[in-house]
Amino acid sequence: MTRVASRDDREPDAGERLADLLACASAGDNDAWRSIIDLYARRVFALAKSRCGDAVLAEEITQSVFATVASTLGTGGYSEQGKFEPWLFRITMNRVRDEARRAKRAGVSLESNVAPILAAPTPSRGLGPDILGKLRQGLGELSDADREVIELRHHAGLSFKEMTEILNEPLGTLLARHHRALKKLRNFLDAAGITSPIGHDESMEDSTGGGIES
Amino acid sequence: MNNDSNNQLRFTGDSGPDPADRMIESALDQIGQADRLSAPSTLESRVLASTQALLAKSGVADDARVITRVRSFSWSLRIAAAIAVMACGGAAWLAVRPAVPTVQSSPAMAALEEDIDAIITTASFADASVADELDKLDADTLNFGQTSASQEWLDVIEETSL
Repeated sequence: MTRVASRDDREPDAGERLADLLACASAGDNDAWRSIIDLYARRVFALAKSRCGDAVLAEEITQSVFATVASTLGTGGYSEQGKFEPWLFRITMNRVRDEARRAKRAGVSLESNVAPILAAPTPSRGLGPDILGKLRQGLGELSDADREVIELRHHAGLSFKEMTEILNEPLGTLLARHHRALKKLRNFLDAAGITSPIGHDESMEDSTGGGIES
Repeated sequence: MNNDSNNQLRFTGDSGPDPADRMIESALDQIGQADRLSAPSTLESRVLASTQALLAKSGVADDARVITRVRSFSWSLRIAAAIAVMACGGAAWLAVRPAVPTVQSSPAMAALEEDIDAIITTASFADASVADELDKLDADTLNFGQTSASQEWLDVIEETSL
């Protein structure tokens, strides 16, 4: 199984290891480049897929993002200063926005692609697929700004500090926006009549294991 | 950073303000995890295949760009040098050339000039004789007026005309 380094499973020396990998990849080390792809490709894919709702388009975006990164690394245009992840996901967000603009010009809404994704069953650890499906629908109801925060946080697996560097917003603003987005989702679930299972699910209390950490 | 740490304290563990929000967060984490796992199993291989060559090429491409830049600079330098040489040559030629150009007169040109001088002289003589005749005519007219004023015949003419 490919290892995906999200904020939940970072090692203490992950930063140093990443810096080494980037240095080796810049020097043409294919193994290092492969390791970087293993670490981040799925996170980039998940973010793109959540925004576009199309797995094929998400893979195209993922390849485009890594092509940009490869070109920049190969030409020595990037120097690691602990900001690789913000840079990587800023490229991803820009690609997603480009696709949204292109779709808009072509008269096609990316939201129409999202519908099947929203209805798709999601493997569940503690919540039923119906509740998670409703939550996906609720994501589609959020404003772009709120949705960006949620997806960068939960799909790309970024910390709030990293998100400040991508979105150029103060930490407090992002925390408030995240909290507001959660509240909107909660209201959406309330309106759908499924507040109680979430609010009183004891198994979820156990499986949560903590909330936001950066 | 401190703010982030404070927020960790605020949200981490079971000390969060709202268990329902933490549940929703956890559910969102599940959705994100599911989307990451929904990627094709060959995603990494395909990304690697499509970018590996690009990573290797980028160094070569950069070298080529540099070489192209040097070549174009060299050509522009040569053209500038050629223009400078031509400008210096032109300035030197202007500096050493005679101030007034000499005109070589041929025998035919000299004969033509002599003919023109003769024509001009003849014309001036003709102009002089005409002027003399005009002066003479003017004097005769004046004399006639004075002579006729002293005679009575004008009165006779006036009487007969009545």
